[in-house]
Amino acid sequence: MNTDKEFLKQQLSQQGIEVDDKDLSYVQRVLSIIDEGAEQLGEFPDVEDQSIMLTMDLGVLNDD
Amino acid sequence: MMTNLTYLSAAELAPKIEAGEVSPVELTEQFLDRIDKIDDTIKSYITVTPEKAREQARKAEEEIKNGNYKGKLHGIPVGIKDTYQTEGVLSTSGSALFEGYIPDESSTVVTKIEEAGGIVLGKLNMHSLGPGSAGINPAYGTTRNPWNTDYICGGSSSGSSASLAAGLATVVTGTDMWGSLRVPAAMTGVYGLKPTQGLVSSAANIPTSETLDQTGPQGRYVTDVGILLQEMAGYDPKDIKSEDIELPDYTGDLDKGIKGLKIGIPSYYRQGLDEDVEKLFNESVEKLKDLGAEVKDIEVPELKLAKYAGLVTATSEAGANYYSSLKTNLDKIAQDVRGFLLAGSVLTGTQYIRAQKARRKLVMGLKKAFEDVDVILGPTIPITTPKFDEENWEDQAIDVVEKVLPFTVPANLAGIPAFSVPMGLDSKGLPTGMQFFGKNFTEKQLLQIGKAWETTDPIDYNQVEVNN
Repeated sequence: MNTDKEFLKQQLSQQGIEVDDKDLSYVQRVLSIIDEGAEQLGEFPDVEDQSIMLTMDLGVLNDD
Repeated sequence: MMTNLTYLSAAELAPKIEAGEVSPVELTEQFLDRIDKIDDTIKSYITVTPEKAREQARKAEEEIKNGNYKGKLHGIPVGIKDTYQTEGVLSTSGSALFEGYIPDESSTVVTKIEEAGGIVLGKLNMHSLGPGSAGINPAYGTTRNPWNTDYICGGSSSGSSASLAAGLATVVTGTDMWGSLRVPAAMTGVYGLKPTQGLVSSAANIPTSETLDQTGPQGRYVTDVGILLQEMAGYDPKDIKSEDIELPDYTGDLDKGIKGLKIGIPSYYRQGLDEDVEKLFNESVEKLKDLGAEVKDIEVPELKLAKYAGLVTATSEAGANYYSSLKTNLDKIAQDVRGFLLAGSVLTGTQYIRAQKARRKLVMGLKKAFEDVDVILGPTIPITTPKFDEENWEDQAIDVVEKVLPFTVPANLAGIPAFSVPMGLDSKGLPTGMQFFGKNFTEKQLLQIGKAWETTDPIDYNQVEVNN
């Protein structure tokens, strides 16, 4: 994930959200945690084959 | 020794109230007096509603005197998390964003509690807007841990748990997006139940992440959790997630015991534990065996997907819910929460869908695990409760989420129930917790397990700092 501050600032600005450097530091921090989590996806190559219910993936243990 | 009524359980109070031995009016006054005396320090309430509480207490007393006892919640003082909208009462979800917001209707759960005769004491503090696990709140004050006020008490249902530990409510409501009922329950030594998605209505609650959010009860005692759940649960056509199922009696047959219960502990829940947590967890497992449970180690490798799936889902959905506010009122959103919401706004649709696919994979892993065991067990959180770092609260708020979310969010992702129970005190004298995950709609079984666990006396509220 691209976590360069200028890139993130531009992404947000294009949506009409104006942020300062401190905001961007915390966005970077959260995205880096997400990135760490994403590293686990590599252990499960069939994740992309999973079907999902787009509207509400709820009560999913109950679907049998 | 505690002799006042504020630490009595709802289960003890109910028959006394029905018999006229305890007056709901006197009981309510004891709570209002105690809130007045100590809540400036704890900051468990954002809004106290003394007049409304007194009116409800007088009405309850009159109804009971006239032979119209409604049930175990009738005349019992209840605290309501500030995410639940309440007619005519400030409802802020713990954020300056909702400053001055007074709804003209109550959430379904608040209405149900009031119809059951519960006395609403006020609105409970929380981690601002919900995406946080520390209970830090720059707008209304950070809730302090009643066991030691130098420490945080967890979140987001911080005021809920703290009010229980401090004897400022008999039972309380909370919500749980990535652990918000369970994290503060663990840090304050109370019981917190995240129900199955759809068991309890979320209608007219201020949302954070709709597919993860779940409303639920907390109590100091297991039966109390059942008493409140009984009144909170049930089908609600106003809530798209609501499930129409027949409700069991959540307070009946709770003494069934756990002989022969098959408990699985994923290796995932034995990794990265603080030393005290590991020690107390191992001791707890031995106690569960002594109670008759069959405990075995299991593998659920898909749990590793929880951090990614949980954070992407939560930040994307919460970011969407507050999209307009990010453009126009950013300064009213707490700095740490801003970090999560803004991160959600830069994630792509592809990442959200990948997270849902990871979520599905995790669900299938849990489903397979439940073929061999009745419940899954792990520490509620891997860390002991940290001191409040007032100077660097934004960093601390994110640190705590990073550490605890992987342990708690699997239940939210899968929609399954999870019950956090006290696990004893760490070496600093702060509570710890462990959580049982069940299959969908097995809340009664989780309460039975909790009731068996309660016989080991896992917590003693006489040791709470504010009582000494």
